[in-house]
Amino acid sequence: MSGPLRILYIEDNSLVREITSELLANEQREVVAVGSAEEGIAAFGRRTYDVLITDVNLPAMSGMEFVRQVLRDDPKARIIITSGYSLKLDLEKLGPHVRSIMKPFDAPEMEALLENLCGRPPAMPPA
Amino acid sequence: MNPDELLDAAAQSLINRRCRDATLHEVRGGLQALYSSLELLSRAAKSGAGDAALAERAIGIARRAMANFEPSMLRAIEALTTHREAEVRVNVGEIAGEVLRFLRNDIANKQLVVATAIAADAELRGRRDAVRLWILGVIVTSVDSSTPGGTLAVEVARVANGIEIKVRTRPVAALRGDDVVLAAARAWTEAAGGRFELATLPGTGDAEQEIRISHP
Repeated sequence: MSGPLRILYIEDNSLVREITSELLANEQREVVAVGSAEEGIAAFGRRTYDVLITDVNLPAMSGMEFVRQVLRDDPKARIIITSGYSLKLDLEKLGPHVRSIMKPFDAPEMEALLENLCGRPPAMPPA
Repeated sequence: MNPDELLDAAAQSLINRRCRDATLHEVRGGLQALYSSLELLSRAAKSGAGDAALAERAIGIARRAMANFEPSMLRAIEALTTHREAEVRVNVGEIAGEVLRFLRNDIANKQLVVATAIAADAELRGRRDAVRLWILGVIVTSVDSSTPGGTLAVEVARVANGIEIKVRTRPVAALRGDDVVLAAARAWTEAAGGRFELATLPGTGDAEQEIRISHP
């Protein structure tokens, strides 16, 4: 991967979306944040993203339905699913690059996961 | 405590234990903005001589996060406790939608495909807390009895004599325990002059279960 890391972030809680986008973005990363899976699908269709980060609990289409739709088009998509408790499903069966993180997560945890998925060193300063 | 109250309490207790994770999800989700605002504060403190504007912004976000957290805590407390609210017009479709959203992680864990047909004007007269509890009980029982990867169909319709709710799961593994929850839903429905039916159509790995409630 070269150039900035492009992240599509889907979170329906506007405050969480605003602040997490701010924490994720820097000169090495571009973050596009949307509030629903439907907007996520539309954004995913418009351009290519290196990583998708989505909440499970979204208003109409759920985060998991979004993940399944994305993986149908791109089985190797890098996806991080955020959830208020640990997901019991077998993420490896969904795709080789699907991970999950439990809320509330802090920046170093998300950084470690991004590094694990994208193989880039952390861009955020450690806490 | 009369038998009805005892049944309510037993059903609430089972639901609380069963839905512990879904409730935690609400609470933890509410904490996320607070965690992130602390991270911003930490960055403000580490940036050379300190970044006052960033610190101000982080504190503003933390205040908004705490203000937002209170309603999510209230929702969680409301979901966890039995209370005797007054009878009012209750929009059943709206509650069914809330319940499906509350159970999203359980549905995700089972990888169920959800189909809904919910009328906007399906109302009944009753206690909102009781209606929420029995709808939650019926849907969570259906989720638990479903086979991973199956379908969950929820229909709420207005019919001539009131409303009709159908919750179907296919294929169904086995109707799981928690009979008290279904017994409570049946008792509430029948006490109001309604009908509660549970049908399981047998089949090899392809059985369907339907819970149908007709309520005046």
